[in-house]
Amino acid sequence: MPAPEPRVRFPTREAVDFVIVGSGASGGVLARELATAGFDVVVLEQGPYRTAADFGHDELKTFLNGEMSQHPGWADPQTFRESADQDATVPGGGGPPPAMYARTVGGASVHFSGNYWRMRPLDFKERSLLGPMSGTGFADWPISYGELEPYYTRAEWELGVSGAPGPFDPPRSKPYPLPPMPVKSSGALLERGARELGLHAQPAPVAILSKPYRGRPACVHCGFCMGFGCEMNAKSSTLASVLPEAEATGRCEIRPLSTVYHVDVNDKGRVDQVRYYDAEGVEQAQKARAVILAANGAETPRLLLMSASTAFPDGLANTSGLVGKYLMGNGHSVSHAIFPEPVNDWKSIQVTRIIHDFYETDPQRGHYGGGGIDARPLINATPVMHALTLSGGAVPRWGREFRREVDFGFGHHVGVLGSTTSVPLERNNITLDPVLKDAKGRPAIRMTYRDHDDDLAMMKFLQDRGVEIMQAAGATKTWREPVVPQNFHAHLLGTCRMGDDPSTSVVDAGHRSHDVPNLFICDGSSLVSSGRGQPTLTIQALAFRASELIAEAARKNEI
Amino acid sequence: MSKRSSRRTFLAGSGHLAGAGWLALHGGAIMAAARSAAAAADLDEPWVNISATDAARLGAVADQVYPPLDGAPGAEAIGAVRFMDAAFGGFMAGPLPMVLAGLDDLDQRSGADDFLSLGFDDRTAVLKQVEATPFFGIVHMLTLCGVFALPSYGGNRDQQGWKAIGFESRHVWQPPFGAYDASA
Ligand SMILES: Cc1cc2nc3c(=O)[nH]c(=O)nc-3n(C[C@H](O)[C@H](O)[C@H](O)COP(=O)(O)OP(=O)(O)OC[C@H]3O[C@@H](n4cnc5c(N)ncnc54)[C@H](O)[C@@H]3O)c2cc1C
Ligand code: SF4
Repeated sequence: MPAPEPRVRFPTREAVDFVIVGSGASGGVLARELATAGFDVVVLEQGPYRTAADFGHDELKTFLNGEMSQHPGWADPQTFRESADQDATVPGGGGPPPAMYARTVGGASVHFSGNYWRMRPLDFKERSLLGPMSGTGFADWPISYGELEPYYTRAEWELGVSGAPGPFDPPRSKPYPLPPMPVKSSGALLERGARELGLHAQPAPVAILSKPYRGRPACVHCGFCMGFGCEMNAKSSTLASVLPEAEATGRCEIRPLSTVYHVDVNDKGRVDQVRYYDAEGVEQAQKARAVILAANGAETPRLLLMSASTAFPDGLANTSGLVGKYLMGNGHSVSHAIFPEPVNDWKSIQVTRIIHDFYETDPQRGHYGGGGIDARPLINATPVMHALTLSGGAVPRWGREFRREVDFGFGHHVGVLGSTTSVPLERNNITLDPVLKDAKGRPAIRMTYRDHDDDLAMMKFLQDRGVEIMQAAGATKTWREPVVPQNFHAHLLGTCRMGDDPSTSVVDAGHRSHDVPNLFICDGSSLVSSGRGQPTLTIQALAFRASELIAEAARKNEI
Repeated sequence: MSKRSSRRTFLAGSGHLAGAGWLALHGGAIMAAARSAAAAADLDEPWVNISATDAARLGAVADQVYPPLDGAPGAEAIGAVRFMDAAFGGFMAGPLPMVLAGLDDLDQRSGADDFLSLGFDDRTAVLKQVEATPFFGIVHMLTLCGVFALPSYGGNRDQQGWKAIGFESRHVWQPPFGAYDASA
């Protein structure tokens, strides 16, 4: 199935109602909601329009060549440093970029793993519950769980989510639309170990269809899930779910291979057009009544900082100085286990059971933070990646013992992932690299990041529990990946945080820029706190909510 | 080291590869390499980008990385060198001279004999001396890609790499997936 012919093409020199920058997890929802509400929408997406027919099981293309994470038209490198006193460099070996996401229609929702957790009431007011943390941006949200709940429900029902309630879940107004996915051996073992230790494993909620739903087929358990696009459209990416519905209205044009590099402000202090490079690399500009940035927590601040002007010398919408600041990536710690009987974790989706016993901050642990634990194949789900990365003790990583481990491990391995909170810190941020530019002269993304000590402590805590759980489940061997500060992120959160006070936030509770009345920002950058991992449901619930508020404002001519 | 580890750790949560950047750097050339690899996959075809001696030396190194075991073929017989030959004509063309120099270096380190005339254990001893070099890193990686990547890239002959680990290429699976599913 090739990319659909656009039903509508809007002229660039006439103002459409909305330009949305980015067609990912949030952009896809915004496009569908605003187009079905009757507005004309142009979605500018730097990636190509890949569809299910373009996805496959090629590890070299997908992982080693980073097909979806590269810019499709030209080199667009990023730099990384741990602290402001270091020179940022392009990571050696050219591995994953510091800010890792898919450049394709549907964005990172296309290749994500589908773990789809709600946040809980406490995530929105933890600062009030626990008190301040000095030297951090630890803050309450301007909205509550109760205000977001209806939109969590809409996201689950309109995108397609499989799951069942667990013992610690927040209140929900409607059950999951689909029953949980069939449990895998890794999930069963997590559950067995948890039971032994008095913990509570629950079915993992996932944005993946356990049954046919809204015209899409159920998951066929192909196993090439994390990092891959779904050939079945069973993964509830925006590509598979809401973007076709947006296009079907005839009021939404998705313009792929369109890389936005500047948002223009007129002399009334309002945005009136965005400038972009088209598929041929030629400069274009699309006029709009209002602009919505949904380019993710790394690219949205980059674009705002690049859009500096005489009216906004420090970057567009940045009078708070917080654009790009408080980057949160969630902490991740990994352990591995081997079991005597076949686990075959390379089949089906990544995760079928999770443990949320350690979700809340527990002062007894001696540090801030909470998290979740799950069992999954990690990057050992596919043959090449398994052989290249299996690190379970065979030293050297070659020879007969190594081979024995690779051969046996593929079918008998379980990985355990701990996902944690990230403390929001000003020192963790996205800025423009002062030297490095992409082939078009756009300053490169420079990520500065070092996990807070409490985040590292929480990662370690969950790793210890993970190993205990695997041992209690009967693992014959366990080992750990070192817990060290992370230097790249696929959860890109907090860099244009929402809040009521224009001096401490970038957008208001309705995602409107405090500085520019017709500029909205709604993606991972809007989050005030990081949750406990798996941020995408919250990002998409916010997008449903924002769409409603923005549509209302547009109808009243208040954009 | 810590850098490497944290990349690997995070990959776990996201899905990309640590230290494989040289492949990323060579971008779209992979597909071209695949086409020529598929054409050269026949055992008797001449080598395209390397000499027969280099192919034999690479095969010997590949068999050290992923050796024959309990009667199952090793990397050389599984076609890892066919994969490499194709790669050297495409996305690995840049490092080829370095790899060839690394092979000569192995001969140097093999005393009076050359590397190929050593027995398996003596070859292991020589390779241990160079296992931290970029040469070994690249051949190690190419070996594992050549054993386990899609057969259309020229290696993984008759899916023997996949058979060795128990992987089966299918699109559709049904539960139960493993021996423990029912214990949930
Ligand atoms: C491998 C992987 C696995 C993951 N698994 C999970 C998971 O299991 N659960 C979970 O909750 N999260 C997961 N995530 C994270 C999840 O994908 C993101 O949180 C989510 O997609 C972020 O949504 P977003 O709308 O903020 O941005 P994105 O989905 O990244 O969308 C941004 C879009 O904007 C486009 N864009 C950016 N800049 C420009 C520009 N200048 N011009 C035009 N277009 C532009 C991008 O190409 C992209 O399509 C995973 C991520 C990765 C990489
Ligand atoms: S495992 Fe299921 S959801 Fe994931 S890519 Fe395969 S078919 Fe799609």
